[in-house]
Amino acid sequence: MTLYDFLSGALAFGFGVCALFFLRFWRRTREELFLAFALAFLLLGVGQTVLDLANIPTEERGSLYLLRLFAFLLILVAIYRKNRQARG
Amino acid sequence: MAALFPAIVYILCFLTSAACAWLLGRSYSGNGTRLLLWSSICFVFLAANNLALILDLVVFPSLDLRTIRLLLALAAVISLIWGFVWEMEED
Amino acid sequence: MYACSADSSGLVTSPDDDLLRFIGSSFRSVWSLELLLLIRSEPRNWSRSELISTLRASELVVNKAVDELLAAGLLSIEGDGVRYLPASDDIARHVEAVEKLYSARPDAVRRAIVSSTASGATAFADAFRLRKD
Repeated sequence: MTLYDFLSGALAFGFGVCALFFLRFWRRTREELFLAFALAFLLLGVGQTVLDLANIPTEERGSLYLLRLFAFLLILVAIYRKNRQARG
Repeated sequence: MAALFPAIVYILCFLTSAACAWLLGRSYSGNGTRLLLWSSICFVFLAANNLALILDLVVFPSLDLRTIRLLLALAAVISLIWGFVWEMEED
Repeated sequence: MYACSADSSGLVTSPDDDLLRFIGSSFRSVWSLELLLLIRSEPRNWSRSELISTLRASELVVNKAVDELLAAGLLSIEGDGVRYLPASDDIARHVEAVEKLYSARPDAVRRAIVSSTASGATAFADAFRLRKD
């Protein structure tokens, strides 16, 4: 196993840990924003995992970039909804 | 071009990360809450990671920036976890 | 300035930590601190309109502050008004220390109040409010 694979696994795990922390915030504050961030980071972690395990050379070659898209869309939607709530 | 849609996606991801970094940074300068500093740094690295992705895909297709992208993403995740671990108040 | 205290094990605890924690848990806003110090300065029944005019704050702010102080055990409702009534001697001592600290280091007290209400998670979520109002 190369150093790259090791770091890659660490990154995927790291995304998961961040997701857990966001989930903790969500449980405490019930703020939808945190749930969205948790899911987004989870998706990023899953994407990273699939990227490594399936040995896909470049991310954009498969449909893997869609996971990244969904992750960031979740964040955007959450920010939008938060501000719509705050105004109303 | 088949690579156009992914490129647009990555630009969107870059802009979102940059926006998050800016919002968190702005709040940190007003508030002083350390968690915001680390979160902001995280999103700066994520933005850089997405930027590197765009450069890798579109601008320098001959270069392989995989390692840089990985290190940037790692830096992002490490800063965020660092912030979570050291700067969270217990209540 | 302020006395250091020693706990049962003989270790001297920093004068700030205990007091700052009291401040953070009792006062949700600087307004509630100002209101408390005001009604403490004259131990009598204060009507809400008096508080509003003396503090020059809105009715909403005064009502909110009164509710918070009530929950913190620092005052009691007497008919139409409020009176300074700490729930225990311990609390009364703390309030006295807070008053001294506030006159000596108002910034530190303000920071203690603000930082406890804008802790980590809430600060993060608030950062994403595009319009700060």
